Amino acid sequence: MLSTLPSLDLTMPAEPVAAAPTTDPLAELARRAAAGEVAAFEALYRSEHRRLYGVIWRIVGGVDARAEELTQEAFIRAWRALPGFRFESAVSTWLHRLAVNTALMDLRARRDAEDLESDDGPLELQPGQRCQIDNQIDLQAAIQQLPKRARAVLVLHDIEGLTHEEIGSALSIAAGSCKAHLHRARQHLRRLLGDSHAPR
Amino acid sequence: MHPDEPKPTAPAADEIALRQALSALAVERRPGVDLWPAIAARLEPRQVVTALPAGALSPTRGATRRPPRRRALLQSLAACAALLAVLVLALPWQQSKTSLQAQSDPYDRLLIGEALALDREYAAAFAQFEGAALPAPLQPGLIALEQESARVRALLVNQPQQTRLLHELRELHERRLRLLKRGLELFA
Repeated sequence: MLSTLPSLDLTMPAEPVAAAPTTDPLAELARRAAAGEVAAFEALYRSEHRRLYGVIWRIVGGVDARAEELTQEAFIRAWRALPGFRFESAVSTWLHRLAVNTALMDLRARRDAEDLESDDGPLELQPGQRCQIDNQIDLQAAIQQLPKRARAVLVLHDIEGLTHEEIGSALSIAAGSCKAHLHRARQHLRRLLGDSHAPR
Repeated sequence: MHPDEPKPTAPAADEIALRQALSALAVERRPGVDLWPAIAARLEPRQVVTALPAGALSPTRGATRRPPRRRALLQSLAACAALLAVLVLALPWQQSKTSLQAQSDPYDRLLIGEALALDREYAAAFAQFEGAALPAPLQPGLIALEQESARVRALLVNQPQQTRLLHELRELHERRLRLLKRGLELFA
C-alpha cells in the first residue's frame, strides 16, 4: 500500500555525502540565485527543468498536469531553500533529489483521496494493455500502469540510476526491501509487456 | 537478507533486455508549456537588504555628527544588544534544532524546514548590520522584537503544525529589518 510510503524526507533534501565536483557549472548561478537574482534562477530552471520534469512525470505516472504542477512546486521549494544550500554536492544532484522528494510527497498526500492498489497484490491486466518492448512509447506506457510504489522504485533505480540505499533513504525503507520492490516491479512490467518477457 | 528479497541469480536474457530498454529511455522530457512564468510569479522576494553605500557603517561617518563619547556609548549599546540577541535567540534555537529535525510527522518537518530556511534567509540580512552603531532609542524595540522572535520559535518547537507561527516569525524579522534600516538612516 502506498500508505507505507510515509516517512519521506519532506524537509529540504540533505546534500549527498559524496564530494561535490570542484567545478560545478551551476554553482555560480545557484549562488547568484541564493542572493536573490531571479535571472540566475531562471537560467538554472532553463538548464535543469527538462530533467526534473522527466523524473517527476514518470513518478506520477505520466500525468502531464500533475507533473507540471509538481515541477513548479519543486523549483519554488528550491528558491526558498537555496540560501541554505552549502554546495557540498552538485547543484543538479540537489535539485534532482528535491524534485524526487516533491513527487513522492505528492504520491503520499494523495493516498487518502484515491483508491489505492496494493503493490504486493497481483496486477490485473486487461487484454488491451499488453504490448511489446519494441519501442520506448510502449515501455513508457507500461511503466505508467505499474502500482505507484513499484513505479517509483523502478523509475528511480532503472532509469534515474539511484542506488538501493538512496531509494531506501528517500522512501524510508531498507535497501533489502527496495530490492524486493524492484524485483516485483520488473515482474509486473514484464507481464504488462507480454508473454515474451514474462518470468519463465 | 530481507525475506522478500530475491536471491541473487544471473539475470535472464529477457531481464537484461528489459533493463537495457529502461536505461535507454530518455531521462529528459519537455513539459507541454513553459512553466517559468508561473514559477516566476510565485517567487517570494528575498528579504535581503540592498547593499549599503560604502562607508555607511563606518564609525567615522557618524563621527562627523556625533560627539566621540556619545558614539562610543552607542557602539557599546549596539554590542550589548548583539550579545543579548545571541543569548536570547541563538542558544535556545540551536538546542531545539535537534528536536525540531527529529519531528516524526512529515508535515511538521516540512514546516520546520521552512522555519529553518526562513531563519537562514534573515540571518544573512541581519549580518549586514553587524557592528553598525544604532541610535540608543531604537535598542529597546530591537531587543523586544528579538525576544518575541524567540518566543515564536519556542512555540514552533512544540506546535510546528501552527502555520500562522511561520507568518508571525517572518513578520517579526521584517519589523526588525525595518527598524535596523531606520537606525542607519538616522545616522546617515
